[in-house]
Amino acid sequence: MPQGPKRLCYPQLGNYDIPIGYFVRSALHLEYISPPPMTKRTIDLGAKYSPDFVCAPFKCMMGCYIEAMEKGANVLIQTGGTCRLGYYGELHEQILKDMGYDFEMFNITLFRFRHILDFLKGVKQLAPHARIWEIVRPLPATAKMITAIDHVEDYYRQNMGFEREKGAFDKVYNRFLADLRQAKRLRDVRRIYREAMQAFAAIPLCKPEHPLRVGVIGEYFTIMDPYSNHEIEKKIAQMGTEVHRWMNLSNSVMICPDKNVIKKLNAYLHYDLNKFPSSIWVNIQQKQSSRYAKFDTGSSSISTITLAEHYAKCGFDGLIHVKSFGCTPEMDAVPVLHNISADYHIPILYLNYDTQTSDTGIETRLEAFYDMIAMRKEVTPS
Amino acid sequence: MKKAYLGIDIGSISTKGVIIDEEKNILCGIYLWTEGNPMGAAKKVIAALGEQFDHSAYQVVAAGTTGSARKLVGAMCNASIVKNEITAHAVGTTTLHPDVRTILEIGGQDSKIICVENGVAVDYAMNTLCAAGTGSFLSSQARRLGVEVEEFGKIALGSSNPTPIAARCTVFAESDLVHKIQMGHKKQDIIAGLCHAVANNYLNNIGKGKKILAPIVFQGGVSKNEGVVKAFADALGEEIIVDENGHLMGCYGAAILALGSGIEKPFSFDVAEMEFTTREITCPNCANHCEVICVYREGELIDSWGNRCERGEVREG
Repeated sequence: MPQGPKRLCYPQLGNYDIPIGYFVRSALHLEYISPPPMTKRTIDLGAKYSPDFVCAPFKCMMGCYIEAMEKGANVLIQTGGTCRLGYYGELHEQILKDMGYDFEMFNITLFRFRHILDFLKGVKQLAPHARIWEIVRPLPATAKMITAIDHVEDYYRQNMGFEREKGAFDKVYNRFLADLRQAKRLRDVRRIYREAMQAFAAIPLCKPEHPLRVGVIGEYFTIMDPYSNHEIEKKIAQMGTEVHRWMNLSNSVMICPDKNVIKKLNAYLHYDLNKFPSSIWVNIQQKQSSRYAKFDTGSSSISTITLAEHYAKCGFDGLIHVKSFGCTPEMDAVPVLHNISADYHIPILYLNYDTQTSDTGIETRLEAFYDMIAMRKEVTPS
Repeated sequence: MKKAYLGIDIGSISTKGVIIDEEKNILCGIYLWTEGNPMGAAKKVIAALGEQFDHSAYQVVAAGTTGSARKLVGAMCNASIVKNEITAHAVGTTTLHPDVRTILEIGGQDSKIICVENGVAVDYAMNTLCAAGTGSFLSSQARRLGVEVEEFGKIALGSSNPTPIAARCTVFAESDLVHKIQMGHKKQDIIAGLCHAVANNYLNNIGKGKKILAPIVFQGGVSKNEGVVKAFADALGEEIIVDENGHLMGCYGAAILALGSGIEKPFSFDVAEMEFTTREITCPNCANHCEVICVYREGELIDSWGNRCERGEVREG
């Protein structure tokens, strides 16, 4: 067990280190170490100390843990999940302990949270002196941070491809993230969010009436982490498309889509972390996609299918399916996607990621995909 | 003086070049090996085309490049358009075969399928993370069996009883192949089996979930192998069209794209004589260590790429 003050860390996942860090600092009064932005070194380190056939997210997380511990982290957080992710906590812990690191693993899977109050119990383990009121008070600001990031990113993806002045969107987006890191309370978050959206709205666009629309679907980690997916969303957006993605932290862990208030309340009360990330929406999406899938194959696969059908129905021009190499739940979703592709005449680009995938290969495929949907749109007027 | 358009396709194994006129007729074409030297191969292609080309009647006003070294050679010959090989192949084939519905393509390192509807590509797939069942696999197995890869097809057609060979993965296929040789299977049966393995591997991986409708055009280097063509015809139960210019389809598409781009840039056959060098710089500014490639013409920087952010930009001078 490490001595001295606890310094927490959760692996890099997009920009979500901002709300997580905020919560740890203001609710638990503990230090939070953001892992440094992922680079080739992170992946190399992760791959070196991971089993060869494990999925790329495991390796990314491994690299993040090592780099965060180099920065001084001593408590590593790992979530559970309904795929192999459910065992990752133990495996990471064992490997890192064998390497000689001194740390504490906060493995959420092992707590068997079945209830919202269990969550408080878990938090109390980390910070025994924190009062309930102190834990609850920063929750609204944390939640608002997550939804703000997701809304801003949605707008960014859907419009950045049509900016008149190159780099205008990036400038606002980067300032938004920098400001958000400084936010102290809910009021700040609201203001920063409002300012970013106003600045976005002021950017002159040259957007056609019916722009090309692309939906991104796929595996939970790879889809949300731009470094892991080689920034495909930005790349295809910059070619001149509107990029849509449902999967984000707000939709996957915070917002229960049930319209019935009682059912919604019940879903929140029985928030099951062992079913991460799908506890609050899996049953609803399961019903929506029952034509294609009779049961859940784990992790985010149901949302892949549901959203693929949804985007197809909305008349999108193409879909991009991302997954790490060997991701079983997403592999199970692929035959279903073939059916959706055939039924709705929508092309789907399948991208597989491993640690050594080169940028060039992905760019070639994205460029070809863009050319194809653009030419296709020209001959089939909407 | 009539206008002409140059297209070059620099693949991993072979480099192809073609010059077309404004009516998209092929004026001259050339096919040679890349031999690990894309710039040298491109120069050779340009020199060879320059010899065949009627300089008094036509002038090249735009160039297009495609293939895995498209960027490098595009910078070299001041290309109007640099396009990925999937788009170039689709454009090239649909121009020559307007009614095509499915394009099967197996090259040296990659394989792809393009589905076409009303003359426009509507879906495609390309191999990822694995080069099993491509041209380089066939040529390495040919070497093992001691036959020229060019003869492969003819030998395969002579077999009436192809040996089943596992083709899921190159490594498995190779050990299965060695095993079958040592068991005493006939060489021509093994070669025919390999051709079937390539076709089946293609249909099970790249072609998975795709509707393969006739007319089917098969192209890329491997389409010159009659054994694989027959294996595809057997597996699909359809006639497989192999164009005599099938190997030039990528550069033909690049030339058409150059024509269609409307961008005219001066092109000179002197490129073949000029000295081009590249230099690789590892950007020291962060742990990403981007590998930046700089291209020099006669010692002068003409282009650079490979940096992920502006910190790694290399400027002229």
